[in-house]
Amino acid sequence: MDVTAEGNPKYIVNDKTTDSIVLPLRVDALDILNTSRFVLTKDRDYDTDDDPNTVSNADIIEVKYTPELIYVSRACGYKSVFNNLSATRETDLSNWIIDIQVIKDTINNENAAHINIYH
Amino acid sequence: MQRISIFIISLIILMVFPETSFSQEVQEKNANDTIIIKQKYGLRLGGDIGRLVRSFIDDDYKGFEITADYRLTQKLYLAGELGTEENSIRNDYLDVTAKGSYFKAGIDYNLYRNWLDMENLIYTGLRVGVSTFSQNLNSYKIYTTDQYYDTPFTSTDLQEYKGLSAIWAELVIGIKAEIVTNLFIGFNAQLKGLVAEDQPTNFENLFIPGFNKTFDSGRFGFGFGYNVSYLIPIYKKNKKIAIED
Repeated sequence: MDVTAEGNPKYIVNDKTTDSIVLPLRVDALDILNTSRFVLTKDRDYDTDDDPNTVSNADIIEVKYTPELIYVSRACGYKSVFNNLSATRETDLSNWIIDIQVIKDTINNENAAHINIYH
Repeated sequence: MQRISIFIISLIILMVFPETSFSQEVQEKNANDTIIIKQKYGLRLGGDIGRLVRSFIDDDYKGFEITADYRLTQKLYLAGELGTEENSIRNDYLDVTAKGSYFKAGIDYNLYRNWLDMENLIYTGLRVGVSTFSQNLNSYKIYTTDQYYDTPFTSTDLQEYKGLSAIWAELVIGIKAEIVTNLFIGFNAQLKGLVAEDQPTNFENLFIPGFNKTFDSGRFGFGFGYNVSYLIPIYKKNKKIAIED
């Protein structure tokens, strides 16, 4: 599976099979709703194989959140905390993602799971 | 200049010869062998030239301090300092300017026994300091371990945290040497302990005028000063020196 942010050529996940991914959320403005969209592509190798009938499947998910800044220390400055987290999947002709559920709607810990993606 | 060399030589002699060797030689004290010296009592006013010089050579700093002391007894002085400082601290993530004024008051105790009519000091003292200041956040960059997005969020909107105040206590040691009549040059070092401070919300005080930089690890800080001062003599008092031979 590949993951990129929409419009960004850099890979977040490059051709890996995994059951958990970490998505970077971009901070555009503070204390209002920000949006990040990510493209999750399944089976990219189908595009380059010999069988013309198999094709990769890209689904777009949209994550909305409100960033807030918290002061850490004089050496680190401020860190961002994300509140009011919500996530939706964009419907297209063939979705491989069935459902998205937000488990925790405030992100201040990078280790815990916040969103479950069912496919 | 002659007096300061006498002062330095007398300092060295004081350290080399312990006092007890003198007293062992005295068999009897003759009450007639005393010299009466007149000592000056008055107000000594001065300025901190170290801070003045730093204001010119350091772009991030502007400050000045007025020092004063008033002699109470032969060894005890009432002392105070009044100053104003503006200092900027910059690192990768924060750009902060602290600006304000401070006042310190306390006592100085002269540990040095002057020869004849010299008026030099090697002193230790205590102060209580108070400052009112503002901590202004000029710009910051968000600390993030992720480098996926090329530029992390940066803000250059000035955020002012005004009307902050702090109180601290100080232990001072220093010297003041009379170079020409009534003109003194001095150096002192201060060990400070914060008693109370107003913390700005979602931020902290990186620098407090009069207290210097604050440290994460505790309430302590330190500072030093170079000053030039002039003694305005008000009255004279007798000091008796017994001659021991």
